[in-house]
Amino acid sequence: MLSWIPIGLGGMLALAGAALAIALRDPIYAVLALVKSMLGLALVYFGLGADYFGAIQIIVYAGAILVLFLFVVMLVNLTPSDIPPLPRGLPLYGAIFLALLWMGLLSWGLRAFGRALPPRAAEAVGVPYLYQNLKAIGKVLLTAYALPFEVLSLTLLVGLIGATLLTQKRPKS
Amino acid sequence: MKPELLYPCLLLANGLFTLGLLGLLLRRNILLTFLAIELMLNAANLNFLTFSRYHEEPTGAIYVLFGICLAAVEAVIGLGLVIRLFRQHQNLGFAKLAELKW
Repeated sequence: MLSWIPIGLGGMLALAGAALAIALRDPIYAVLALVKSMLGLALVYFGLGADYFGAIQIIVYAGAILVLFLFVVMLVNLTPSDIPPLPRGLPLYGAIFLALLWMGLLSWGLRAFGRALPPRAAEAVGVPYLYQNLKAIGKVLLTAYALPFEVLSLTLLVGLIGATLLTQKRPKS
Repeated sequence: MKPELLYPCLLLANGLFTLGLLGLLLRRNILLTFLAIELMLNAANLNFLTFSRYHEEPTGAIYVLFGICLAAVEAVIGLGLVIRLFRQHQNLGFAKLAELKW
């Protein structure tokens, strides 16, 4: 099956990038590792047949959000010596134990959940997801989800104003 | 989508979320904490998209769009706070965040 290849490859890339992002000391390397993780995730999206979202993932996440992170790392002049090292001893092992416990429980629960999943409605449709992808999404987005869409645009505006307000220079009083 | 692809994708999202959680617990720097939060948001997006693909339903995909949009807003506001904090203290430790309390 062809879609196994991008999903497996992208999944490994994403996991490796994520692990590096939380382990590397140098913040610039950490952000670049997260860029790698996002590109791997875009590959997974392509493998799932959601090409549009893969493209969005590359353009918006890897291209805009993480480059913004990179700019801020350089702007505040963050060097590896500013980053406190990972904790040792009990805090480190405790956190790893908690994370593994969380992951194990969730995987176990998901397996049980997968067995209880209802049969898929899609078999009857017969239209490949790939082709109805954008058309169906656009139709639903601008009819059933028109109000959330507008609220989201307002949220973007609030973010814009907030960022301007937060970063402007103010005389010290 | 074949049903046997569902579980690996959910496991991948689970792994990404766990790594994000670990980063959130371990890193003592505001900027790197934001990185971990982005990772967790992405895991949620992957889950939405997987189920959207499984059921051939566009609704989940629309939530991915909303999620990406909100992640952008969150990053912009958070990084604005980071720059503001850096200007006042020249230091991005967590201890300085206490003054954000009202």
